[in-house]
Amino acid sequence: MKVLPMPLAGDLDKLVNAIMSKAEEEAKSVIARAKEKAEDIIKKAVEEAKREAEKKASEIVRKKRSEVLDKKKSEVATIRVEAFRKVLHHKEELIKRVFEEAKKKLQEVVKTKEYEQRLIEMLKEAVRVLGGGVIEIKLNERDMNLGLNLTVIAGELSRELGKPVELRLASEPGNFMGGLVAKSLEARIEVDYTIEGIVERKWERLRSEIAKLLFSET
Amino acid sequence: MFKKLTSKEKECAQGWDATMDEVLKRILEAESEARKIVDNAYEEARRIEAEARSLAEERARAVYDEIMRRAEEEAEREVRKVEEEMAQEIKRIEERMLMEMGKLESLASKNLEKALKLLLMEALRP
Repeated sequence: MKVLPMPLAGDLDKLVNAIMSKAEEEAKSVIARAKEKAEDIIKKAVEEAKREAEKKASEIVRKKRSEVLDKKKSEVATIRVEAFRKVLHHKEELIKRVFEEAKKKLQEVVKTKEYEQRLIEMLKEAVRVLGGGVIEIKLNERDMNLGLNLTVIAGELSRELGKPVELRLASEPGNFMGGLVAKSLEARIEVDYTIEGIVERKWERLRSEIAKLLFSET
Repeated sequence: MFKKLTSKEKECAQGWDATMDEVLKRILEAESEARKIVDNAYEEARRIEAEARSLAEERARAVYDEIMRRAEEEAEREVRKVEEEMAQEIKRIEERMLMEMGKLESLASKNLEKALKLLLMEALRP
């Protein structure tokens, strides 16, 4: 290497140093920008992922909540209907209990004189409805043994209706709790005044009245 | 046209040329070194950027997974909450039903005689 004269060597060193300093500065700046950009890349990627995840997460929670709510609402509605049905069924059972009790009571009532009088009234009403004539009366076995005087009753009705009335007791007993079945042998019309028949005809009205009375709070 | 150089002058001119060569050589070397420094910096910058992209992907995935995990947990909590609320609602419905049935029973016992009286009266009246 050639040795340079001193003044020139000093200037050259300065120049070389300046070139190197500038390069190092530029290098530092390039690295600094790269680091900044790197931070920005990471920050943006994380923010984007966060935004996307939060949107999806909120949708997941909303969907899950909505699914379970719908399912549970439907279950609760079914249970509510079932509970209502059970209450209604219980009401029906309590009404039926009244009828069962009534049947037991009727077993006692049909043994009383009051019932006997009622039976005569029912018989007269049946004859009035049939318009007199020859009428067959069917009673149950117990009532057949009450010894109703059909001739006397027929006489009273004949006078009342102004036409002949003949009452005949059917040979076979009826299979019912009480009351009677009256049949006009001429007109071939039958009226059912058995207790069962009366209750059945009045069932809808009676059921509603009994329910109202049974569950009344007053 | 040109003045012929003396040998002394010739020696001096040759010395100057050599010096200038050396100067240029040093400058070129410095510039080459400087370029290397800058090139290395760009290379390092590319490496930093590539590393950042890889790191960004990794962090983004971690953030995404964490948020989704929390969302799943929250959804599960919501499910449990709704189930508990509904269980309470069902319990209330059943309690109300039993209470209603008890009340009906009590009213039916209280009013039985009146209902029986009506039924018996109607049963014997065509």
